[in-house]
Formats: sequence, structure tokens, C-alpha cells
Amino acid sequence: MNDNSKFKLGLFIILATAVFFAALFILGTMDRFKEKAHISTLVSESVQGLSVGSSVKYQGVPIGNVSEIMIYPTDNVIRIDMEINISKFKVQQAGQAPVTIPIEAFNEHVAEAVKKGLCCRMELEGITGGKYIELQMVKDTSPPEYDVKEFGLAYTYVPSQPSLISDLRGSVTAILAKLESIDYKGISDRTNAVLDSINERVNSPKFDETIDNVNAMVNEARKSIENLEKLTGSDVKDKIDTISQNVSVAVNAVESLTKSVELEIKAIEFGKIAENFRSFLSTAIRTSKTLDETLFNVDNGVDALIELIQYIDSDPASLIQGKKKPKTDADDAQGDGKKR
Amino acid sequence: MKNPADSIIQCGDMAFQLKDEVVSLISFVGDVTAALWEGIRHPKRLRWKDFLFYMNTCGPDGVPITIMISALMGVVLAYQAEVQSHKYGADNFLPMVIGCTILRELGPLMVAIVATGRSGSAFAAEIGTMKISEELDALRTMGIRPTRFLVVPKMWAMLFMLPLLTVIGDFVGCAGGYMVMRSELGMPLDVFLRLTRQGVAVKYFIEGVLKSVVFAYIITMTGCWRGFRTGSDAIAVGRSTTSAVVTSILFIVLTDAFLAKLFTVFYGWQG
Amino acid sequence: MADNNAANPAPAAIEVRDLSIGYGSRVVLDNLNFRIEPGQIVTILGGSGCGKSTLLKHIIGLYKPLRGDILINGRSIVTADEQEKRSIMSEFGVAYQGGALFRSLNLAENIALPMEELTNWTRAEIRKRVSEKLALVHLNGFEKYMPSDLSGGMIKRAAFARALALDPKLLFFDEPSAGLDPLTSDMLDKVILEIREKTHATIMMVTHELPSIFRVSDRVIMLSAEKKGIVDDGSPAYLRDHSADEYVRTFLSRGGTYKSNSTEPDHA
Ligand SMILES: Nc1ncnc2c1ncn2[C@@H]1O[C@H](COP(=O)(O)OP(=O)(O)O)[C@@H](O)[C@H]1O
Ligand SMILES: [Mg+2]
Repeated sequence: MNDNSKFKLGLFIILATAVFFAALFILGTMDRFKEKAHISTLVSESVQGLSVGSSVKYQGVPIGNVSEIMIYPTDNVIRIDMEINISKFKVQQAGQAPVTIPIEAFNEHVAEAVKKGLCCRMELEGITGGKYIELQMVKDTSPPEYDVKEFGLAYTYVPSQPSLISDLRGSVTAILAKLESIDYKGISDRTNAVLDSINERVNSPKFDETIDNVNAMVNEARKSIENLEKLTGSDVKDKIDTISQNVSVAVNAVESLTKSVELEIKAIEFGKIAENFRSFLSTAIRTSKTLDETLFNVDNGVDALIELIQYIDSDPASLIQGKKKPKTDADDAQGDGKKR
Repeated sequence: MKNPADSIIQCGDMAFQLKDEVVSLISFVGDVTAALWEGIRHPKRLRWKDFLFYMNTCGPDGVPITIMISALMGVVLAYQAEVQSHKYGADNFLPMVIGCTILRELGPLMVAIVATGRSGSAFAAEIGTMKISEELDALRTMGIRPTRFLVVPKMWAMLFMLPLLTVIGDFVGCAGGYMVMRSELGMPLDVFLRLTRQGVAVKYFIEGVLKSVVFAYIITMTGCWRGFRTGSDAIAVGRSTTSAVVTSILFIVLTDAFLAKLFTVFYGWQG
Repeated sequence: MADNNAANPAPAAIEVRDLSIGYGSRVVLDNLNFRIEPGQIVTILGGSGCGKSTLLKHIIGLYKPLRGDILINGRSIVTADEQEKRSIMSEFGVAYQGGALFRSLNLAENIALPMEELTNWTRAEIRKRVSEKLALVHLNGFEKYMPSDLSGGMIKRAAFARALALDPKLLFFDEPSAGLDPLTSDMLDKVILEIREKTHATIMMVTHELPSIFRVSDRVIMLSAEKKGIVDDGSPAYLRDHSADEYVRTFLSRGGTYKSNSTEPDHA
């Protein structure tokens, strides 16, 4: 082997070894020396999308990673441990470069902040359905459903807030429960009974006398029906919380209307309304039909809502992604319901 | 081929041939491993001059082609990934994607494939030629184990040089990726480095280097084995060179898949 | 083996019993039987491709015979285990047909290799012996040459020198003088006779050079591809005059004009 190739071999070995150690240093060892603090939280919702290594952010600044996720099955609680890179937390001293706070000071700071409302909350990250944990000051903290002390956490405990997704799920579920509790069939039956009794009594001579009252009734009925229509045609996405109110208002209106129609009809002297008979009958039949349709639409709306909830459950990312419009957009879900 | 019995006989022949190959490979592996062990116990018996010679041919001489292929691989990978993920605004994931892919998979794999083409085939050709010119017979009549004499220096050289080549290939590949990031996205170097460090664990880098040690073993083993299995005519050398490359790449890719799974499982244990 | 030893107190240097050799399922030579006494110089003769090199390689233990046994100084090389085989082979010196010098080593290193690998000799001793052997074949001064820089004849002579490196008791030469000029060929013959004088080595060689055969050989074994076996066996002069086979007589009296059953020349 001549000198030239000896030089080449030596140079090669030295360079490659240098690159090797440089890569080791750049990729790993630097983090080794950084001081880590730990915090824990407990959640009772699903942590689907969160994994060991997921980022932890403090008001949007990445400050660490999830280091451990474990389940306490008896309490149905999931514990999340986080490793915090405290070099992100600095103290400013006049006229000097900012200094990383010591680890004890950090722990104190966290404990203090928790009293003032510091909370963990799972948030969706990017397009993948992955999640990160956001540390945030929250004004009205809801108390956890379990006793934190029981778990004997070694790390500083930071309470958790239900995530946006679980908030949304909760309210939609409540609406569904309310909608389900409405006795559509009862309403419909009662209306039909009313119409039947109208049919019976139109032959009565006293009918004419109450025609004015009935006309007013019909007007009111129209208003109620319009209310129902407004509900079904409205933008559910924006008013998802008010749907149940609207529905119950509309249904109450229909119910009270039906009751008063009944009362009025009992008092009718049918003989006096012979000339108005036909026009009233047709109005009443139309009212009944519209009411049926409305109820049908409410039903469809409920179906669409259920679908939406299932969809959000299976693919939470779609909520913020907004790409697959026809399914994720609440508005369109409502539209779908109407078209069927 | 009129007689159906002929094809049955042919199948049987092929099965026997395959069995022969497998048995020969396994005993060759055993032979070489014993010789390697002997070399560790008696370093004086190692043929140092050959070792240096092969270090040179496997290492520095392979740098230009390794750099070229790795850089292009980095550029192409980064470009393809960039086109796709830019649509989703996931530019910041790119350094991680590029880093992980190159350090864990493509770097070691491409460097190993280049080394197979350069060194593995050369080993097969060299030993094959020696077989045809009766040099192997001469060694055996002198009482010298051909594996110790011919394979061990090559093996040590490859075991040392391929990881170093892989380190260089990794580096150049990432540099190629950075060039695309810079020209397509205007990503500054410090941002690229920071994102790479964030997304690429040092264990991935070590994984790649460890893989390349295994690949070095495979390349040398297959190349030399094919050389020893060379037939007795002149075309046979060409045949065994080709089959050294093909067999070795096949083994490398299979091993790579296996190792990828193994490392993932290992990382899983690690938590 | 016991009865054999009883009949001949000194075992043959090489004894071949019912030997069949070939490659794979193909038989090249069938049912060979012969003995070579210590100190004999035997020439294997035969048309190109009839299996002379094959026979040589089987005798030195590179291949396993299809059938039969080969005894070297009374020890079977066929059934020997690895260690015994190595000990038997350590007494061999072999010069292959193509030289088989190691391309990566220069001439001196090639000849020094068996000494380095198999003896405890010092470097100085090895260097001395190497130049001795090179001088024997008139190659001193070419120590630093690589085999690729040597002519075919020089490679043959170097291979010859390497075969002598350890002063072995059994020497095998496969066409050592083929392609050499007559003077060099004469020189090799002289070296062969000298070696026998000094070390009483048994020598088995393949050659086509008639003058060389008559000068050095005690005995000729004639092989034939058609018979896949021995045609005749005896001293060269006797076979030339009295062989029962006409082909043998013609071959030995006219030399190079024998008709070969192979279309290709055996060596470059
Ligand atoms: N390694 C081998 N494998 C298969 N056949 C071989 C091999 N070497 C030689 N042969 C065949 O065996 C026969 C004898 O060859 P060889 O012994 O070299 O002849 P020669 O008498 O000219 O030295 C030839 O027909 C040759 O083709
Ligand atoms: Mg021959």
C-alpha cells in the first residue's frame, strides 16, 4: 500500500468518525444534559390520538412531551405524565441574559398557577387526528369527578379540563335526549283527534258563532308551524345549543294551540258557521299536513345529528380540517336530512 | 419434455440443488465465523496487509459514488415528500420525515446496495477467478484455510468501512434533503437543524449504523460464498458475480425488513 | 491395510486401489490400481482431457473419489479426518498446470507464503530460502514482480519453486515444462533429478515433453479417455519398444504427433 492510499484511508476514517460523533452530538446527547421537570394530570375522557411523545405546550409554546400514559380501570381515569423541558422557562434579571429557572422554582410556579386556574386540555394537532396537551389558564374550572388525592401522584398535579370535542359531544347528547323525550306521536294523535271532533261538530248549528275565534286560532297555529319550519331550516351549526329550546317552544305552542282549539270547538254553536265551513276545513287539513311534515323534518334532523356525533367520534380531526364538507359540516348534515 | 416424469425429476433436482445451496451457505457461514473468531484470538494470524488493502478499496474508494447516490437520494426523497406534504401545510414535518427515513432506512440500504455492486461483486469475481486458476486448490494443499486467508480480511475491512460509509451517506443524504428544503421552501439551516433534532432521535441514527454492520456481514458473506461456489469455466465467474449481487441485495432487503420490525419492537419495550 | 503391510514392510509412497474419479455423476477415470514406490519419478501420460489433472487432484486430496481408496505412505487420504488430512498434505509440494500464483502477492511473497504460514522460521531464514528457490529456477532478481507482470513460462517456474518451498517428500507437477523453451525445460529436468538425489522425494508429474520423459522418468503410466483407465504402465524405454498397445508405442516414439480426442488445447 503506497503513501497516497494510506493518506486516503486515514482521512476517510477520521472524517467519517468525526461525522459520526457530530451526528451523535447533534441528535441526542445535547438533550441528555437538559434538566427535566415532571407534571401529571388525570382525565376521564378518551385519550385517542395522544401518545407517549406527544407535545406539551404552554399557551402554544412547546415545553415538553408526554412521557407516560396509564389507566386506573377501577376509577375509569387515565393518568398522563409529562416531561417538561424547563430551559424554556426563564427569569429576567436587570441587565443580564435571561436565566433558566431552577426546578424547585418551576414546581412552585406550577402549583401557584394551578390555584389560579392552570389546566391541561387535550387539543387536536394538525391533520392527523393526533393530539397535544395545552396548559392554559381557565377562568371557570369545573371540579374533577374524582378525588385527586387518592391517586397519590408523585409529580405536580395539574387539573384537566374536558377537551373541545368532549364539550361538543356533551351538548349534542343533551339536545338529543331532549328531542327524544318529545311525544311526537301524542301531538300528532291529539291534533288528529281535534280534527275529528271538528268534523263531527261542523254539522252542528252552533259552529258559525265561534268562527272568529277559530280564525284567530288558525293564525296562531300558522305562527307555531312557522316556528317549527324556522327550526328545521335554520343553521344548526351555529345554533346547536338552541335547537332543543326551539323545539320545545314550538312543541309547547302546538300543544297549547291544540288544547285551546279543543276548548273552542267544544263551545262552538255550529249553526252559525255554515258559510265559512269549507274554507275552515281546508285550512285545518292543511295545518295538519304541515304539522306532519314538520315533525318528519324534526325527526330527520335528529337522525342527521346522530350521524354527525358518530362521525365526530370516529374522526375527530375532521372537525377542524373542514375538507370533507358534506359530512362534517353541521349545516350540510341538516341539509342531508331534509333531502331524504 | 414429452414424459411427465421428466418434469417431476427436474423438480426433484431443483429441490436437491436448493438443499445443496442452503447447506453450503450454512456451512460457509460457520466456517467464516470460526475463522473470524480465530482472527480475534490470534490477531497476528490476520493478514494485515490484505486487511488494509480491502479497507482502502471498500472505504475511501467508494466515497465518490456513495456521496453521489446518497445526495441524489436525499434530494429526490425530500422533493417527493415536499410536494405531498406542502399541500397539507405540513412543511415543518419534512426535516423529521427526511431525517428518519434516511437515517433509519434509505441511508444504510443505499450504501449497502452500492457496496454490494462495488465490493460484493468484486469479492465474488476475485475468489471465482482464484478458483478457476486453481489458486484455491493451491491454498488448500498448503494447508491454509481459504476462509481465513481470503474472507477474514475482507470481512473485517467491510465491517469497519461500511458503517463509516453509511455515516457519510446519511450526512450527505440529509444535506441533499436540506438543499431541497432551502430551495423549495426557503427553510434556513438552523430551522432545518432544529426540526431535525426535534423529530429524529439519536437511536434512529445508531439503528442505521448497526444495520450497516449487519449488511457488511451479508455482503462479504454472500460475495465470498458465491465466489467459492463458482463453476469451472470462464463464464462461471460472471455468473457468480451476478448472483452474488442479486443474492446479496435480496438478503439485505429481507434482513432490513426483519431489522426494521425488530428495532420497532425494541423501541416499544424501551417505552 | 494390515495384510498389505505384511507383504510389503515399507508402504508405497502412493497407492491407488479400485479408484473411480470424476465430477458429479460423470466418471472420468474408472477402476484404477497402481502403486508408486518411494523415490520413484512417475510420469502420467495421456491425451488432453483424459483426466491427468483430475487424477492428480484426487491424489492430493482436493476432491473425494467416487469409489476406491488412495493411500499416501500407508495412510488413506480419503477417509482421513480434517486434522490427519492436513498432516498428510503438509508433505506435498504441488505445482499446478496454470501456476496458481496468488495475484495479490509478488513473486517472493508467493514463495514465502507456505513458509510463513506453516513454519516458525524467522524472516531472515525465509528470505534466504526464497532466494535459494528462486535461484534454482533462474528467477532471482524478479522477487518484487507481481504475477501479472511475468510471462507464462516464468509463472510456471515460480510455481515450481513454490512447490519446493518446504522441501516436501512428495512432489506433484502438472505440466511443469509445457510452454517453456527447450533450454529452460532441460534446466527443470536437472532440478528434478537433483531434488531426487538430495531428498529422495517421490515425484509424480504430468508432461508431454518426450525428451524430458526419457531423461527423468523411471516409469510412465499411460491413461486413455476411451478406456477411462490405464492403457499401459512401465519404464518409458520399455513401453516405447514393447508395449502391447500400438498407440502407446507410437506416442512414445514420435511424440507430439499423437492424435488428441479433445479439440481444444489443454493449456494456453
Ligand atoms: N472442475 C471440473 N468440473 C467438471 N468437469 C471437469 C472439471 N475439471 C475438468 N473436468 C473435465 O474432466 C475431464 C478431465 O479433465 P482434466 O483432468 O483437466 O484433463 P487433462 O488430462 O487434460 O488434465 C475433462 O473432460 C474436463 O472437461
Ligand atoms: Mg491437465
